[in-house]
Amino acid sequence: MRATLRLGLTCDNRCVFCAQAGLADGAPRPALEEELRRLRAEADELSFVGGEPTLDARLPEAVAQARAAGFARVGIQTNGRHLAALAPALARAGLTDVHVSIHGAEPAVHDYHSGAPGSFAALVDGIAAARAARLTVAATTVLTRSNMRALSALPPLLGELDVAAWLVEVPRAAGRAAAAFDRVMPRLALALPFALHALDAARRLGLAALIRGAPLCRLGPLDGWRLADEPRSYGATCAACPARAACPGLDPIYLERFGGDELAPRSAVAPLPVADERARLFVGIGERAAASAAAPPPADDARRRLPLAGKVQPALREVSAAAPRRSGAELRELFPDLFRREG
Amino acid sequence: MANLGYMQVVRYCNQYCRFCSNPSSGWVLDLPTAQRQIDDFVARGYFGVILTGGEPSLSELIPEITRYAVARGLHVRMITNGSRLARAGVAESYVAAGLRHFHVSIHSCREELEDFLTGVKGSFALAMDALTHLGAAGATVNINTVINRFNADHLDENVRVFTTRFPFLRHFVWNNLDPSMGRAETNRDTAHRLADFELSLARAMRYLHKSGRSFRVERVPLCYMTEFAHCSTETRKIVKGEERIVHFLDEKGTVRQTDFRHAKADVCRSCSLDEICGGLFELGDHYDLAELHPVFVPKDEIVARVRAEAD
Repeated sequence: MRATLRLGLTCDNRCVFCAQAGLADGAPRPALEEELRRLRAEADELSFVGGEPTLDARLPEAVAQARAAGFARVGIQTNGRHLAALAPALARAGLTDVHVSIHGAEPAVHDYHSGAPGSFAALVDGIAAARAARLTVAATTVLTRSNMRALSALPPLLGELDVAAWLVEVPRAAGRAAAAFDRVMPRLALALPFALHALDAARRLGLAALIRGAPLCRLGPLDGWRLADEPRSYGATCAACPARAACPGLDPIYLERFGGDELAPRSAVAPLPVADERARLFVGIGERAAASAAAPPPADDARRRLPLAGKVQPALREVSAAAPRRSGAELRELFPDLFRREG
Repeated sequence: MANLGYMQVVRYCNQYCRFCSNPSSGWVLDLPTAQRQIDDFVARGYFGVILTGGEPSLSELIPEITRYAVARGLHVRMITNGSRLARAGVAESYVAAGLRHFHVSIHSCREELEDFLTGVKGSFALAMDALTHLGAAGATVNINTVINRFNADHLDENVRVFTTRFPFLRHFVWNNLDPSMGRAETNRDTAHRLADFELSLARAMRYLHKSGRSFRVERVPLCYMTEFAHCSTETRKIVKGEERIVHFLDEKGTVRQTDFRHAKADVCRSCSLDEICGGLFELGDHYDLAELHPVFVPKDEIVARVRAEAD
């Protein structure tokens, strides 16, 4: 089992979907040594998460302490921008793996999502440095409206960078993903086929390719590619679904916004096999910001609560149908150019 | 370039659509002015004209206008609600005059809803009769649909129903509701958000594409129709450098539109399709720039498809 330890919430990316945006660092945490001891009693692997843990100067020492505390594998969840400089030292301190976020195979795609120009180039350099330091690299891509059509370009790049595992994550409406829901959250019936196609391509390249947060009825026969996730919320049709217990359902804001038309009962799913060791790197981000008041109020249901009632109101400048008709010579007023041109 | 000019023939109508963008103004076109408009389109090298309104079939001038335009070498179309074409003989008389291409406005395959949207009970049945007559007369028939809040969830159902019942339908046109003018401004229950129709529009476009049919979509930003960006009316106009002249029967008079790029969000600057996307037409106070998002797909392929396909 892998535990997570947050070093702080400071980050130098500004991801369009960041579910931690708005979180405060809160009360001081216990001393690192004490936390490591507590977590070691529960788990034999550890990931440092953020914010961005590489911005914390304590990281190399924290990694060394974690290894000294007995964690067999220690990783970091990172935007990867500082790995090029830090990877050798972190590897020497005992780091075994890094879990990066990558949101497109080109600078334009990734940098739009990260909100940080130049972040793609730094990330690619960071992954290369991590691999040169013999660290295992896993990558997560958050599925958005903007990158769903660009996902298929990622597997070749990830293969070239010698990434071991790839996770496509369906976002939750929290933090910035809630505040910018309409801009970020994809319609799953449109987006998931792109994701599955890309995952298939990744698997053909030998990557452990997985998806998290997708309702199982949208995965069809590829449900075995899922990574377990905590439940979100469910539509009315889910009540009778044999797969419900294993299904994350839909984000509650998404469900309220669009209804459950994309959901349909399906057959039961087989239990997940004992997780690939590489899948254990996908620990999630932990605490998320609330949907918050920043989220737009859900639109009224466009489909189910529209009464076919109400008298049509005339337009502001509408003329009564009984008004005298204007035509003939008066049309010269409307179309002066037509009459001027021909004298 | 295949520019089509719009001629409003009358501005009265026998329907009362909740979202009508050209409601009654009192003005009526006469034949001499119609001929001047046609002469002007010929002089500009236009391919054809579209007779519209109001409900143009309520005008007795249609055969004469058509014959004049055809004699001047123009292709002639009509946008109609179909109610008069439901009468036996009307379609045939138009076809005989040279008017052989019709855009019939139908917004839902659900009879009760269509009658509600048009404000006239029985309008759905009349539109179905019109399609029957037009099909029998050998006319080219397109379906024009205004995307609004009431039909946003079943645009795909519409095309399946209509093409099953009338297999001769080969082309569909969707116009996203313009919430800033006409009756949509005063009947706000018709307005929707872009995401409300995204899925059903995508399904409708895929169905038509698979069945070998064609379609055009107007006033929908490319991030909401990316797979079929080459079917965006604005994108086609931008790529081909086309213009559009509309002779309105209201205080706007003649409008020559040469710029099909409208409001954009800051994030659109990141979008690979920004240069060929019309953005959000006439925001009114309803559509929201926060719904726009960049996409990252090859622009050149879309441009090539636009240039390769006939209008």
